[in-house]
Amino acid sequence: MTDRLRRIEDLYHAALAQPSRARAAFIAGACADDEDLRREVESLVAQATGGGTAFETVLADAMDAVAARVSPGDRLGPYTIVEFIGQGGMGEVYRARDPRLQRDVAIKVLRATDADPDRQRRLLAEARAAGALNHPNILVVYDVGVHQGSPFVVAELLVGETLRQRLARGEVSAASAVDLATQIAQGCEVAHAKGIVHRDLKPENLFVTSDHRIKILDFGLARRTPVEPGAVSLETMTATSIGATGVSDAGAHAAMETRAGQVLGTAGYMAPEQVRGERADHRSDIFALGAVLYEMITGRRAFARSSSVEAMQAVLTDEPPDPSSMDAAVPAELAAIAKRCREKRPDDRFQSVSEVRAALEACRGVRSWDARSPGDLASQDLTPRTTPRTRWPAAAVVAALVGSLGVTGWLMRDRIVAGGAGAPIKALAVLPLTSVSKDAEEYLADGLTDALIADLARLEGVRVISRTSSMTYKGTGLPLKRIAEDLNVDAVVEGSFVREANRIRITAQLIDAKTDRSLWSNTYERDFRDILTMQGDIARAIADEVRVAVTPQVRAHLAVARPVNPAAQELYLRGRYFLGKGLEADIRRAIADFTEASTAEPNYAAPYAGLADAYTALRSIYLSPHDVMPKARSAALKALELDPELADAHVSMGGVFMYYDFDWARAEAEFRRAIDLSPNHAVAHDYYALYLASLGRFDDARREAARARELDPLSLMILVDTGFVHYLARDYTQTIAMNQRAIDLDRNFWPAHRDLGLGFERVGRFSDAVASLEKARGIETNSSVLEMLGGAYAAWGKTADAHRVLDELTGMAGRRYVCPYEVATVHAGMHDVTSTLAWLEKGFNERADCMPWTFADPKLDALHGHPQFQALLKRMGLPQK
Amino acid sequence: MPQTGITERLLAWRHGDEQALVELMPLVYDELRRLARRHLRRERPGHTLQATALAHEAYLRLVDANRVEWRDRLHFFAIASRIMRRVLVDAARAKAADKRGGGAEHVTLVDVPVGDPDEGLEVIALDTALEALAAADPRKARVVELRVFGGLTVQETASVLKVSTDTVGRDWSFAKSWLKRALKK
Repeated sequence: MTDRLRRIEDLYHAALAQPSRARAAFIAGACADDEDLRREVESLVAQATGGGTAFETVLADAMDAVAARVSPGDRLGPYTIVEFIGQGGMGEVYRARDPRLQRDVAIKVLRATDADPDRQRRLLAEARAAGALNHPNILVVYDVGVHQGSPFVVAELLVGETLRQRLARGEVSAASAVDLATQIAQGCEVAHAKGIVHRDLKPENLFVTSDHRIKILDFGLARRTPVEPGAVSLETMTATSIGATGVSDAGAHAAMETRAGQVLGTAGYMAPEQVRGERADHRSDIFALGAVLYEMITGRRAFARSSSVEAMQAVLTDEPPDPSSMDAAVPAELAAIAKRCREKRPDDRFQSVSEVRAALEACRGVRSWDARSPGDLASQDLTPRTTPRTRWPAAAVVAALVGSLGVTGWLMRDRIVAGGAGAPIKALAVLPLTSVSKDAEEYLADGLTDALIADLARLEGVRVISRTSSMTYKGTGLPLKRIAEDLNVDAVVEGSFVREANRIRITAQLIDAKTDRSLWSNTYERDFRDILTMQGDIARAIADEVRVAVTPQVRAHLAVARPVNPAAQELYLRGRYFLGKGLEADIRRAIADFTEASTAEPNYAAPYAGLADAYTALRSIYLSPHDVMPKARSAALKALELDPELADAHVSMGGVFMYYDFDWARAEAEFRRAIDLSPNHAVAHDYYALYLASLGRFDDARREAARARELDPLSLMILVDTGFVHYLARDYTQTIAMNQRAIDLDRNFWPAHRDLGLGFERVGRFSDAVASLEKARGIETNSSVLEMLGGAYAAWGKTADAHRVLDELTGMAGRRYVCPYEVATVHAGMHDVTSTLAWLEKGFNERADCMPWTFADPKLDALHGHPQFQALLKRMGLPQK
Repeated sequence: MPQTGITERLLAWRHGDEQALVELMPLVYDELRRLARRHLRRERPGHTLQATALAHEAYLRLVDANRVEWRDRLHFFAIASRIMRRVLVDAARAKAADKRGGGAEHVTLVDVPVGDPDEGLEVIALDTALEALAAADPRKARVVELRVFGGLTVQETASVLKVSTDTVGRDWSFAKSWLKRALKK
């Protein structure tokens, strides 16, 4: 640093240290005889105190520049960008390589302003409309997708120019005009037959390839009109290039009659009925074709005016000059066809493009004005008559692309051809979302992950791994491939989020686990209150990507705007987080959070379901059923009242019916409803498995348990529950295997040690059983551990030890709730029928939550002949042997 | 999911392996550019923090945080800030080139100007001004780079440059005024 600069800097800081009023005087004094120095310091101090360019803004703008383009080498789905071709109305067009089919394609990346999910949805709808069209005169669209928030359209790469560019070089010969018009009519014929009207035919949307084939572009404005009564109307209207072509006022005028934001065509080509904002039908396209034909044969626009408003007025009232009068070379028949197409009243025009085509063919037959064959016409006459024949422009490789379209069928075929690259996704896992902010709340990350899993779980036809298994990978940094193998899935969803005050931004991507290739990626940013809607959007996008059928109900559920009070959502997520931890204090904290959430947003169902689950969780561990289950019930009921489709709440409700009411029919209905609503809900399958086993329906129970485990392979609780299902089914080897697996995953998971002991006891490995149970007791002295321990000693014949455990168990009952059933089975082990029955009666009266096992529990097998036991089963509504 | 190789190279560089830095730069460059694109939002609110948020996200994605010390983290940001600057300036230059007609020989389907053509170009001016500042006082330019492009706090910047936080504060204040004035010229 120079001394001069150091001097400036010192004075700068010294000046800023002065009170603002005194600064000018200070600087003047300090720089007494150095005018330059004074100006330097003053100007710098002025910057420090004044406003000015914020670096952040400069950077943010620069970020746009980074993001606004893709560069050669970038991958969009399977496509690799080769080069930038040009700027289109809605985005940039690139040449890209499709490695699967070894061909070049054109990709138009729509601007990020179009990244709004609604627009993207419409785009996909348009893609479907256009996907129905497969004709040599209509641009083939291979694929649509979303790349880093920007939708893109993949289409065939064409060589040639637009008709507009062609006309700029001079008019077209009559013979060529006939040929081109015929091709346009042929393309339209196919579209019209499918009920799709183009609505914006014009030279800009008509592409002439180097082999003189017409390709109709931009069915982005296409709207499917009913071809038969009751046909579905597909709304695919979007605002596109109208502003760019200078007719936004006209568009606005016309749009008043229809839906806001719709664009209706281009002034000078759109039919009078479109100008008036009336319904456009296929005859509107015939009008436009007439205008285009006129322009081809005369080299002038039919309704050229200085402004779009005037052009629209002209369409309504004026007739363009008769071509025959302008150029003797224009055959009268052709002029007449163009004129009839352009009749003001649709009823006066040709009534179908087929009629236009027939008229053109007839015109071709007259041929007095041109003796050459159509082939010759095509190859020679496209060059202007007025200028010497020229070569195609050097850069005539043009991506004829429009802001729309996509052919799902095509894509599917592509994928099949591509083989492994496009193997269908049958199962996926959502990895825990990570926060980009340094100190984001863990519960938010977990909660968002949970919610995304819950939304995806509703999809049928794809297995979605449940939360416990996904959460296992939090922060492990394991390779995706490894995780995918562990969980037996084809793809994983990975994401990160940033929260800034009331905004939240989530970036999610779907990755093919085999190839590690990103199949889909998108960024969503919304108000925190719209977080649920955003999750629905993500889930739907993924569903579309993996091509699972989404039932209308599920689609509706995901699509519905679900605004939520941010505070309530946050409390809810935090509650879920604590509930997941599972200790009593955590559960109580979860209850507090859920309660507060439901106060903040009384109409939000989720916190009530959380509350129901929290009370249910307290039930078996700490509190008497009468204290908690009615609360669980009312919470679940409230949740279902607010959202009858909330699977969680149906599971909770089923739990209340099963474990508290012993109302088997209603319990089953709830579990099945939950599974209907959310086929991937692992806990629903788990609960249902236990339910089925308790009624002795073991085959069904094993099936449901297997499904639960498939969906949540790393869930310890599901492993233990599955082991218990096998225990009830008397398949003790499986009980041992399941619990051993759970212990392999987590050596401190005491329920697994407990049930491993149970399994050992059943197969006569008594000392192993006791060792395992003592291990469980070392981790958590739970009444159920004592129950099993007492049972093991009893079975082993160590009656004194069994009694000691029994005393411990009854002693515990004084301090916290002990399920009488647990005491009963120890007595049963010691063949004390009277005590067993007495404790079972007590359990029934208390509505103890172990009572559902009464029928199937092998430990009670000896009682089935006893009338009192049979009476109990009957009262409970359980089957009898 | 930290990428293999990045953490090793970061550690190697700290232990004096300059080649590791050479290898590190393009990896980080690509990641930052990728993240920048992915996060593009035109909605203004919530937009301003992105460059720095991106550096953080890149860090999370590239570096295995369990294996590095906090000083390595700062070193990463020190690199990332420089690279982020290059990412932004390169992009702006590419855009400026287009504006001059880089793509003009191509026939385009619909010739519509899109957006504000000058948007994003100011960063080039900022870059040039930073160069000038660096010529007069390299440390001040580095402070700006670390804070603006890398999102480092005053304390972190001080730690990277091995000076006091007071010095960073003074440098930052002066450099800001100096740059603002330069950008207005």
